[in-house]
Amino acid sequence: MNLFRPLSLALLAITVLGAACERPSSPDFTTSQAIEFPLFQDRSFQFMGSSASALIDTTTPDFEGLFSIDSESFVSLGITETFDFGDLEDAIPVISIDPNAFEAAVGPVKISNFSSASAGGELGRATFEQLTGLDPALFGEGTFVPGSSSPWVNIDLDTDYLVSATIVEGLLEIVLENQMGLDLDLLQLRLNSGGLEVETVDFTDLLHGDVATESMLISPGQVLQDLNVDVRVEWGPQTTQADPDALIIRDVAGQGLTASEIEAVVPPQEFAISGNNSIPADQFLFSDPGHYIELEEGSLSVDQIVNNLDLGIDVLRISFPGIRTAPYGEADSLVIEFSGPERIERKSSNPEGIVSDLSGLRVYAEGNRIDYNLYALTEDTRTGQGADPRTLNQDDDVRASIQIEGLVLGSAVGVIANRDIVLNDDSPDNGIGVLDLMNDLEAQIIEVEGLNDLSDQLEGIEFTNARLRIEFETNIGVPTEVVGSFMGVAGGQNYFLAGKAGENTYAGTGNIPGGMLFDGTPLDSDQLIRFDIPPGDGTLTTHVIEFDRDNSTIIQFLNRLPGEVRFIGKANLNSDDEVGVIVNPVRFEPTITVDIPLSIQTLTAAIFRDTTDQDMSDLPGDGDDSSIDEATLTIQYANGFPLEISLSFEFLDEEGAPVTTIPLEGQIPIAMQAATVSQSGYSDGESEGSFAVSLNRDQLRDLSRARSMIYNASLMTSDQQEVRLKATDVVRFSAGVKLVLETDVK
Amino acid sequence: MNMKTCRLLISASATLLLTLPLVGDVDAQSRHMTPASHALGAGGTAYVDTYHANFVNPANLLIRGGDRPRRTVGIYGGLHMTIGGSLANMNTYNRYLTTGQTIRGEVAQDMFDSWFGKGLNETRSLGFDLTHTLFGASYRRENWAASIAARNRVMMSGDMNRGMAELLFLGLDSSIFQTPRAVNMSFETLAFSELSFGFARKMLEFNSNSNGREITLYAGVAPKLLIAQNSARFDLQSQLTISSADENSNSSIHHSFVYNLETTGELTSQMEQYHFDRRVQNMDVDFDDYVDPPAEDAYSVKSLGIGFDLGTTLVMNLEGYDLPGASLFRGSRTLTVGFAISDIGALDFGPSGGVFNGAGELDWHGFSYDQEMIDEQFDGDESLYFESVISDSIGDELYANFTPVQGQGVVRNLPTTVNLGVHLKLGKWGVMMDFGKGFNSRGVNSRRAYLSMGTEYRLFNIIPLRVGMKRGGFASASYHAGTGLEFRNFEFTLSVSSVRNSSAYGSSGGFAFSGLVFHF
Repeated sequence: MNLFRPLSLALLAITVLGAACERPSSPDFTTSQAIEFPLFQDRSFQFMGSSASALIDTTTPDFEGLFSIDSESFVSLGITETFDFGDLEDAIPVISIDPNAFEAAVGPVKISNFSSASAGGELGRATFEQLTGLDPALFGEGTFVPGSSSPWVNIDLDTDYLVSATIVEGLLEIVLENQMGLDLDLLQLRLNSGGLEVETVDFTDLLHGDVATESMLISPGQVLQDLNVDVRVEWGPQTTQADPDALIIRDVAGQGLTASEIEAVVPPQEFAISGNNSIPADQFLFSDPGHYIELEEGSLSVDQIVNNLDLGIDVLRISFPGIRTAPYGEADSLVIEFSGPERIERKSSNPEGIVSDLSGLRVYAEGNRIDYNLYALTEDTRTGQGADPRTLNQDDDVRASIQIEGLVLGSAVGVIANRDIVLNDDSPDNGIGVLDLMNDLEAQIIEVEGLNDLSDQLEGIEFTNARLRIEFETNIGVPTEVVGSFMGVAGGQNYFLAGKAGENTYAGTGNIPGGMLFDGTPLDSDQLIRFDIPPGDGTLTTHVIEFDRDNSTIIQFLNRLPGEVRFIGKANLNSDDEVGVIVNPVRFEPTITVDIPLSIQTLTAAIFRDTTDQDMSDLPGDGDDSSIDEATLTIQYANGFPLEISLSFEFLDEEGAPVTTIPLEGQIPIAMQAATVSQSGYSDGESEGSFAVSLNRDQLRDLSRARSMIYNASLMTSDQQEVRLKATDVVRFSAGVKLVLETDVK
Repeated sequence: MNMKTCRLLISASATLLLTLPLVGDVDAQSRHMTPASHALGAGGTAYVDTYHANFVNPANLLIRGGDRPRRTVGIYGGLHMTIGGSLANMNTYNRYLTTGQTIRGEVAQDMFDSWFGKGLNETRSLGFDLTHTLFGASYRRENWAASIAARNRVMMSGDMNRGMAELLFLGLDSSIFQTPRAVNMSFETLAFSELSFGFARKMLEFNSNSNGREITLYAGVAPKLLIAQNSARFDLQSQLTISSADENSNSSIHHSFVYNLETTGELTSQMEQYHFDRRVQNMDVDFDDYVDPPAEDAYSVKSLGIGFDLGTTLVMNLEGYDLPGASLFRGSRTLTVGFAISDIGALDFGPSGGVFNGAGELDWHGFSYDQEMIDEQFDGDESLYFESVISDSIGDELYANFTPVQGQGVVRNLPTTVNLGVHLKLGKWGVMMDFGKGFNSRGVNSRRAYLSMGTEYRLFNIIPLRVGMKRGGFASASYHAGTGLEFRNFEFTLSVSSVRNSSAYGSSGGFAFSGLVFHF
């Protein structure tokens, strides 16, 4: 049986049946879904707070610490930065004293004793027999002796101390004792230096047993050596009063007797000199006995000592009446003494010097002169191992060097010399004493990221009560004038804070110190501001300088919201040479506080502008099966800000070319009316309203190419009046969206 | 039966076949189909024999004794699938969704009028019915017959109302939903297996005259073991209102809803555990973290049940009747009338079944910002907050805020139908007609009556050519055809169906495949 044919017929019948039945065609339609739903309700944006719902989230790193709120919720934008100037070392006078050498000559040598036996001893004698020619044995006590006179009898003196001496001046004193048993009417004594007569002296009425002293003036230049005397006596008739003995020379001594040159055993020699060291007056002037500098560091050394004397110096004392230890009275002067183990040996050089630490000492140096006094006491060669003759010349001296060095001033009272000091680090690149705002090594730079962002985004707003305060602690004790330049950088532009002419903040031409530059060009008055630091007593004192709209251009300056502020400055010390106090270290630690109370005013609309990434590639675009035919965003608002806010958005593609704007030109602006404002400028209610943002098909299609969005908020204060923003100002939104989404299905 | 009676039956069959397209819409029934019965219009109460009769009319195990061997075995014994319904409106689809139109405004309303009718609360449905006969065997004696057959069944059905369709097509459109509109939908799945044992017996036989013309009455019953595997049902009844934004107020969405959810198996345990943790223990847990039933949960045995099919068949031998044109149809001539009640019984999923009810109202005016909470709980991330609002506040707290219904299990009645069928066989030609009614709307079953009619011609007595049609059902009038090979000992047939005009009640499609069936 051939089954093919019937089976074919059967299948044909089924095919015909199938063809007659309904069959689905390929889909080809477009859905148009209108999607309308509320997005959010009463979404509140507080002006400022510590959450993401605040327009200014004070917890973000950029804004942290940037804003402050007072008890009435009034908001201020504030920046507080401390300039690190370090200590103003340039303000400390630098005291330096040149080394000073002294030469102290011993001067005419004093001669006191000529013999080691002079004290109660016997230098020589002439016997009774020598003087009378009589046998003393025959003229015992009570024996009559007829009057007569004697011849010259020579007595050799035992002057073991003296070898020779060339006398400068003075008297030679002779002490003798009459043990003749007779009263002498006259005794003539002739002093001889060797064989040369030096001087004659008479003793009259010299009774038996008397010890008599007579002096004779030694002529300058007289050389004394091998001393001896010739004596002659006269007596009247008399009975001997005792057994006859002799006429005894008890002593020969000098009275004010000095020698220019001597070889002898000499007593201690004293000599002294005075001198001074000068302090340059270019840094500090001691114009009054009470002016002083108190040293934090320093030393005084006496060294390079040379003793040209053939005498050891038992005491060498140098005193500095103007260098005093606490409590700084006149009795507290600094004394340096070489004695004891430090005594200076005869004929010595470079013995170990003495260094004295001057830390904590004060220097009183009226007339910028430090006086010193030197006193020296030589050894006594008559005693001890020194009992040997020394050869001395009156010009023999002791020499030494006095050095006062390493002086670091701790404090000073006096006249600090007028000069300019730089407040910043002074880079030598552009010269010492020259400061350039654009030199990062020199300028103090404050960067405030939050302000930087704001300044990039906001323009045209006027902060009506902005201030810049400089609060600093300083111990400067002299009148000081600071001239500085604050330069703000915002949006790539530079702006300067300047004092207003006529105000004491104005840096007139005569006040501008040299060496203050902006990128190599000297700054002028429009770029500078000045203030005074009143003198204190040397202790840290807090001062506040405030620049406001009355005395400076602070409003114009801060309206720019500079994200970077640069500062250079110089201080002029004591321009009137007044007596003042300076304490090391000189502190000047200014804290700069920018205080911008958000009381604002707009004469023209202020623009807040920002760009954000906005990748809208998920939206349907050209070539996609879906498209959004229209979209309407309806927003109800309750604006509690005292600002009228108009919004516009510009969308850019990835090359930054405009894609579309919302609203389109000619469309109703997106605007929110400002809240009502009280007399104090605060918002006292809410302004309610609504607006709708409609996007057409072309806009929505183009939006798929958008990768970034610029939004502009135009801010206007009501009636151009000043308004004040509170942290608690709130704007509330409720929003709903309606989309018509078309999707092609094929 | 006299000639007059026979003529009357034949005339009635032809009239029905010709006029059926003119009859108003009726729903189809979820019936067991062989390729033959499907091709003849999805009837078969007086037609389907062998082990398939277990599921249609067990009395039919004894019919066609003269045409078939006593034994029949089916390996991979048949597959039938039907899908469609009023929701699948091919006519509307072709008119509106294939012609490049933009579905909005009047076009959209016209489309929905065409799809759902003009009533705003009209509902359309979609059903799916898959029957797979794993195996079957039957044995027939002169007075009795027995069989065994097993089949798997998967039924799905769902519906949505016009509001839901408009929501899906037109979105959250305030112009549509400015006044409260019902937005409803439901969905149900049911999967189970049956092992059926059929038995039929000749109940009555009598000869009408001396020519041996006879009338025989059979009765059969087929109890079956029901093996419940899975079922789920979700029924949402809601009302949606969307107000548009104006100068003084924001737009808003109001959605009040009531839903019922029935689950079986592991899913039930997961839902109960979520409810316990979230609502009783007040734990902060997510619904998604609980609901993840394993794949085997879809087919694992949950419970067993008993069901049965029963029927009676009257066969009248027309040999000896002088029928008009009877000479054209050589061979046996019979008129068979069958009556059956199918799918009696129910599936009780027992402890594995769970019933959950939820109700609430969404009054949405947009996200309410609680910045303090956003900062503290979401680290300031608004997107996480939005997600939380949607998933937690709206999702878990509102829509997923269901309550287990204690003491109420998941019970699924079988898609019971009552059917009356007639089959007139005149040699190689035959005509068949069925009329029936369902008792529920499970799968493609319907409470509404249906009428189907078909005719066949056995070319060379081995190639059946079958056509049929069915009016109504779960879709519009469908047309059926089938063919294949039917030898005495082996058959391999198939059938398909489709809809010519789905404008009224939607489209449908189906097919049936005999598997490998051997008669010996």
